Amino acid sequence: MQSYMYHPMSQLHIESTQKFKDTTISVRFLSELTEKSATTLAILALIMEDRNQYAATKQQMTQWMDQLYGAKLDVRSIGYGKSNSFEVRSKVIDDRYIDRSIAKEHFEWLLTMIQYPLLSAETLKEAKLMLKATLLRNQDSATKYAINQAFTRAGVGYPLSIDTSGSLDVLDDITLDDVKSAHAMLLSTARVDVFVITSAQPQMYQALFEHSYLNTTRVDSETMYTLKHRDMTQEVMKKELKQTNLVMVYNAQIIPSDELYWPLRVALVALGQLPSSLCFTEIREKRSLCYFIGANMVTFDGAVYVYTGIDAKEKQQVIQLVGEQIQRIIDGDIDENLLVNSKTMMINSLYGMVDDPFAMINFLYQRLLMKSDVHMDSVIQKIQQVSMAKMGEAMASLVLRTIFSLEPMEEQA
Amino acid sequence: MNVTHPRYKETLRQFTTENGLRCILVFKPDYQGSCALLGTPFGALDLEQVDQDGTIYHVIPGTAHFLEHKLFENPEGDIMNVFTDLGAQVNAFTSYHETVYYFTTSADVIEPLNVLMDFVANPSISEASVEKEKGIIVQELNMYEQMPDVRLMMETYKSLYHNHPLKFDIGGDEQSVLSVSKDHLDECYLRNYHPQQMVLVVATGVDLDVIEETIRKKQSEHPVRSMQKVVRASVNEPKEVVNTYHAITMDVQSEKVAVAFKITEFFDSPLKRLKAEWAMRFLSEAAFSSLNPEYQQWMDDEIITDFFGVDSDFGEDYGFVLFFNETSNPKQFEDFVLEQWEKATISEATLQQLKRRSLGSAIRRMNHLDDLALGIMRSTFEQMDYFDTIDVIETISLDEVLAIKPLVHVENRSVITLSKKA
Repeated sequence: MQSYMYHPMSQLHIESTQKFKDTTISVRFLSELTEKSATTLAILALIMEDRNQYAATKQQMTQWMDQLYGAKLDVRSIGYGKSNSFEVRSKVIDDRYIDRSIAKEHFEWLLTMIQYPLLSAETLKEAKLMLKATLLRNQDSATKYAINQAFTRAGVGYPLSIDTSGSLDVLDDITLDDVKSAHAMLLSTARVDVFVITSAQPQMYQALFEHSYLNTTRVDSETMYTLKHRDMTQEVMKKELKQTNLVMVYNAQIIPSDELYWPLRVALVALGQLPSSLCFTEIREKRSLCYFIGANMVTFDGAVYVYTGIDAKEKQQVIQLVGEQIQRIIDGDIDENLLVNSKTMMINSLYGMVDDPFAMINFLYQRLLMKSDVHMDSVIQKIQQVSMAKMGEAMASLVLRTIFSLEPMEEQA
Repeated sequence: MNVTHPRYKETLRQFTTENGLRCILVFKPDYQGSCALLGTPFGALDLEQVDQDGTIYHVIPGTAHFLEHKLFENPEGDIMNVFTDLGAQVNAFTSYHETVYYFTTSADVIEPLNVLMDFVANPSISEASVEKEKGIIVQELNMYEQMPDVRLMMETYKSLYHNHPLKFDIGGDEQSVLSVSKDHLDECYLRNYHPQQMVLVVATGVDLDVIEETIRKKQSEHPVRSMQKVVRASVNEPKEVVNTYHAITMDVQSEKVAVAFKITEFFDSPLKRLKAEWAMRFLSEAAFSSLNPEYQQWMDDEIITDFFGVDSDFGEDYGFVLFFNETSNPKQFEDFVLEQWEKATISEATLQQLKRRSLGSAIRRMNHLDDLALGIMRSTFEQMDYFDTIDVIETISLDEVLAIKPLVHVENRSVITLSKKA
C-alpha cells in the first residue's frame, strides 16, 4: 500500500488493484478514549449513518446510497489502548461492473457524510434511544456480556474497563453540544488515516484528499499502555442461563513494542486458537467440558483472556485445567509440532490478509499505531524466530487478574 | 474447459468425476488463498426419507448435525489436527438443507483438498466417541438456547408448524441427541453421502488443471458403491398455524416480538422459489424500510427500533414471512404490521432502485471466496446456474413482485413474544 503524508498525522494510503469487484475506503480518526468520549462518538456514529445535512431524511439517505449502486456506510469505534479509533468505512461497486463511473462521486459522497451529519435535537434523541437499545441488547448476549464484565472488573481505572460501544451510565448526560464538539474535534485535530483499496486512479483520490478538510495539521493520540499488577479478584454473576460463561483475564504487561510480544502471540495460538491447541484438546476433546474455548489478547492494553462456555459444576476443574495448560507452555512441556503449527497458522493468516481489504487495512493501521515496521515480511520473520523458551518466558509474565463467571441460577445449574 | 462469464468476469470449470461427484472450480487469479467446500444436500429437514421402493427411513432430529461432528474423527484422532499440520483451517456447518465441510488456506491447497475428500468419504465412527460427542453437542445446544434471537426464531417455527421438520432445531434437542447411536449415524451416512449426491467447489488462484487432476485421482481411489436413491418424504402439514399467540420468558434486557405469516401455497421449481424470495424482499423493503416516508414516524413513535426487520423463506413445502422487533408492546406491533402489510406496495422507480442496490451487493459478494463457493454449491444443489440466480435480480418484473402479496393470508399468523421473566 502506498502512503502519502500531507501533514503530520494526516495520511492517505492507497492500494491500487484490479483484484476486487469493489472499492473499499476506511477513514479512521484517533482520539483519547474515555467513558464519555466513547459514548459521545457512539452517538455520533449512529447519527452519521442516519442522516446528513444534504440528505435530511432516511429516505433521502437511502436513495443517495442506492444511486451509488447500494454503497455501504458503516461507522464504528474500536479501542486501541488509551485511544478510540472512530472509523467511517464504505464499499462501492467497481466501475468495471456498471454502466457509469462512480468512484469519484463515491469519495465525495463519503467526505460529505463525515463533514455534514445532521446534528440536531431530533437526531440526538433518536440516536440515544438506539444506542440504549443496543447496549441493553448486548447484555443479552451471554458470551459478549461476560467478556465485557470481566474487562470492566480487570480494568478498573484503566481504558480496558471502557466499552467503546458506549456506556449506559453516561448516555443520558450527553448533550448536543458534546456531540458537536466531538465532531469538530474529529474534523479539525484528530489524527486521520484514510485507506483506499481500488482499481480507480490513485491521483484522483490524492487530489480529492489534498483539497479536503482532512488535509490539515493534526495531533496524535497515545495508544499502548500496561496495567499495574494487583491482587486477583473473582466474581460471579447469576442469570437465568443454561450454561456458565467463564472469563479469565491475565495481566501480561506485554505490548506490541516489547520483545516478548510475538512470542506471546504465538503462545496464545498454541493455548487456545487452534483445534490442536492445548485448551481445545484438553478441555473440549479429551474431557467434553465445553463446546467452545479460546484465548486472545487485548493488544494495546497488554492483557490476555481465556473464555469458554461450560457446565456450571465444572467451573473449578476448567479453571485449574486452563492454569495447567499455561504452565505447560511456561515449562516447555508441549509438542514441538504445536509450536510449528502455531507459527504456521499465524503466518498463513497474514498471507491470507491480501484477499480481504479490511484485513489489509486493519493490519497496516495497527502497525502504524505501533510505530513499527509496516512490512509483512518483517512481522513474519519475527514470528518465525519465536522459540519454545521465548514462548515460555512470555507466558510466565501472565498474572491472573480477574476470574469472572456468568452463571445459571442455582435451580438451573 | 474454463468458461469466463462475460459480465461478472468469473472463470469456472465444471466436470463430474467417474464416481459421480459434481465439481465446480472457480479460478481467482491474484488471490493468495484458496477455499474448498464439499457438501451433501442432507440437512436438518431430512427427518423422513423415502427410497425408490417406498421404504421410509426415520431420522432422529439433529442427526445431520451430529454426523457433521463425527466425520472429523479418524482412527488416529481428530482430523482437524491434520489440517492444522498442513496450515489450513477446516470447519463444517449443518443447515436445514445441507451439510458442508470446508477449508481455507493461503498455503498449499492440494494436500488439504485430498484430506477433505478422504475424510468425508471414509468415516470412522466409534461407539465410544459417539457417547463422548453427546456432551459437546449438548453444550452447543445450551449455548444457542440462551441466545434470545435464536430462541425467538425457534419458537416461531414451533408455533407455525405442526409436523414439518422446521419445528426442530438443526441440532435437535438434548433428548434426541442422547438417543443417537453409531448405527443410526452409519445408516444416515450411507444413504446421504454418495458422491453422486454431493458437490465439490474449489475457489483458488492455483491452476485449475492441477486441481482437476487432483480431484479425479483422489475420487478414482475411493471404492465405488451403489447408491440408494432417497428423497425427503412429503410432510402432512395442516394449513393452520399451531399457536396464534405464544409467549416465552427469558432473563433478558430487551423484549422481542415476532409476527409470522404461514404461507401454504408453494412453488414447483427452484427458479420460481428464488423469484418469490426476491419479490418478497423487494416488496418488504419498499414497504417496511426507510424507503417508506412513514418510516421516520414509526421510529419517532417508538413502534419500531433499529432491530426491526423482515425475513422470508420459500421452501419446497413450506413458506413464511416474519416481522420481528424489540418492544414491550407486542399488540401495537402486531397491529402495525397488519396495517402496513395491507398498504404494502412498490413502484417501478423503487423497484429499479432496489435492483441497483441488490445487484451491487451480489457482485461484491463474489470478492469473498467462501461466499462465492457456497453460493455456487447451493445453486448446484438446486440445479441452477449461479450467475442466472443473480440475473433474476434484473429480470424480475413489477408484476411478479406485486404478485407475491396475495400469497400472504394475514389471518394465518403466529405472534410470539419474548419477555422479561418477572
